Amino acid sequence: MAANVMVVAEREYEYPRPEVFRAWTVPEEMAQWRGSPGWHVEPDTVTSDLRAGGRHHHVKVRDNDPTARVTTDAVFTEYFEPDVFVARQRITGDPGIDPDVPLELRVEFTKTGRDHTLVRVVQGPFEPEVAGYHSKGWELELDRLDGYLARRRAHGGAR
Amino acid sequence: MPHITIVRQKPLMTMRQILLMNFGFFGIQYSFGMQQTAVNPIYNFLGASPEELPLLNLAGPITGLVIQPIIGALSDRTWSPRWGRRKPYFIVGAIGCSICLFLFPFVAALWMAVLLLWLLDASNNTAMEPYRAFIADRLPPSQLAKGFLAQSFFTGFGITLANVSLFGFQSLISGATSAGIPYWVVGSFMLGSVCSITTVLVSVLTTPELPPSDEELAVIRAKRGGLGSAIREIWDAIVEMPGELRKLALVYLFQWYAMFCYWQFVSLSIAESVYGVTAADPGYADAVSWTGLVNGWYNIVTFCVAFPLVSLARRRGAKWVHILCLMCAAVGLIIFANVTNPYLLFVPIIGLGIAWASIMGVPYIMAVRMIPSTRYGVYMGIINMMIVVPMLIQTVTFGRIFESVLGGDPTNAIMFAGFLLAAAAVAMTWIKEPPFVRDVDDLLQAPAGAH
Repeated sequence: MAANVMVVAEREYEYPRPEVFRAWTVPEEMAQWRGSPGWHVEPDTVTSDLRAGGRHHHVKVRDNDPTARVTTDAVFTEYFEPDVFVARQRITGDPGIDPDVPLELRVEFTKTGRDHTLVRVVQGPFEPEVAGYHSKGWELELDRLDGYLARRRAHGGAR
Repeated sequence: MPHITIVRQKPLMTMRQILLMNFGFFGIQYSFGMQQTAVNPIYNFLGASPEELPLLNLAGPITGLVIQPIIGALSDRTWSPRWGRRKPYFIVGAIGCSICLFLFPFVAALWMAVLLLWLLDASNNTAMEPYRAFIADRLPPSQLAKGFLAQSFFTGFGITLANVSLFGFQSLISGATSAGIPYWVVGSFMLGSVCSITTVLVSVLTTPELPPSDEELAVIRAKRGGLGSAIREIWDAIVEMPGELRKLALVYLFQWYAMFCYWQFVSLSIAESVYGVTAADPGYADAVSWTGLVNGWYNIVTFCVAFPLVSLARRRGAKWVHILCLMCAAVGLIIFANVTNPYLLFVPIIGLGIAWASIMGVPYIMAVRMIPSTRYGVYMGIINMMIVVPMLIQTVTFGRIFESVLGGDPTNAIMFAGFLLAAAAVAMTWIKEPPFVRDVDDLLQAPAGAH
């Protein structure tokens, strides 16, 4: 089956764009919330050269099975803070993704009324059978981002 | 609305699927073409005087202003497993268009024609508004340019066929109804009636809508209220409108004011510059006839350039494509107003045809990337308000500008439209466009870049 499905996930956050953009891109911050529930990002594995043409690397590990590891290597093909970044990714270790077929991850940050931020994630193309699994993953992950932003603000983090 | 995560799986569509999805737009635009071209002559056949025409045409702006945002807001919270989210509205709209187009040539009195125009316009708006949201719902960002410019293609094609049918039937069909309406006009309306419903049915039957997730469906179901709630949603959407979309309103003010100036004064301008006559002279009919050919030609240009604009938008970004297209029209109209040879008119008007393709498609590519997908419907309606409000402002203000600033000269009105289009291009530079989305085909063809 050909990979021809794009997953589009979006959510509005009650935080300004620079704050949300940083949570996505700064290694120390993204390591605290990326990954679906049951998974986490190993903080030591995150490297990110935040510019167009810069490389990114991180490893996600299953919480209850450290041998289950999914590695993402990527190159930023577009990087415009705080509007959008696009990364061409190679993902290895995920049984539903062919590591030889690059994916594109596009994350857009749009200011909406009252200094909120609409985040739209577009990733693919996926094979139809695995697109549902990744859709669910993004749904949970974007919920998790909301929790992270709330915690950070509660602890007097970025404004 | 609580903030929930909306997730959709959008299969990439082939060009054939995109064309089938947009085919219904052809029928809807044919209906608009008939409305633009054939309704005023019917008013004339029924004894309306020229000064009554603006009032008799008030249905267009008023229905556009009221109906589109309401239909948009309602469609945002509609979901039927059988009928979908947007389809119920454009099926109902297309049925309304078909019935109105069928009945139009049989009217026997002016009031009946006015009533039918209001119903036709309401139906057109009901069908068209959710159609744009349907494209945004269905296509992933990388294919939006193809989707919206396919609508431009069918806009040009539909309006051209409406005009061609009037021109063709005139030489083929003779006789008239008891109310004095020629049978060739009847023939065009019948063709429109058939096209309107059949093309929409082709799209409906070939293109399924994407169902909402359970979470989104729960939110849709939780929303209550009818019209009042829809109006509140429109107000909230205006208050919360992204800043870049507000800037688009300024671009629209200039570009649509200009387009209405063009449509209203082009035949008078050609009469003066080419034929040396005014509307009061018998020779004016020749100018009107030639105007039909000129307008038909720029719509042909529109559907010819729509798809080349897709690849240009992909490479250069929608913003700069629209600026370039508006400048083509600006230069074209300024030259057009000064041309005295009727055949040479077809050259500068190419600029307007290019801009018309862009106007009908390119701004939507940018707009849908600025708004949440749960509100595509209401924002498409608000974008239509940005079209209709300049129309109303033009109706109120241009008479005075025409007399006091432009010296009552129709060729100056066309040049004025050209300068306004240039102003729209300048205003467009103010918009900050998110970097353009590459087509996923480009991604797959690119060499692997990760280490």
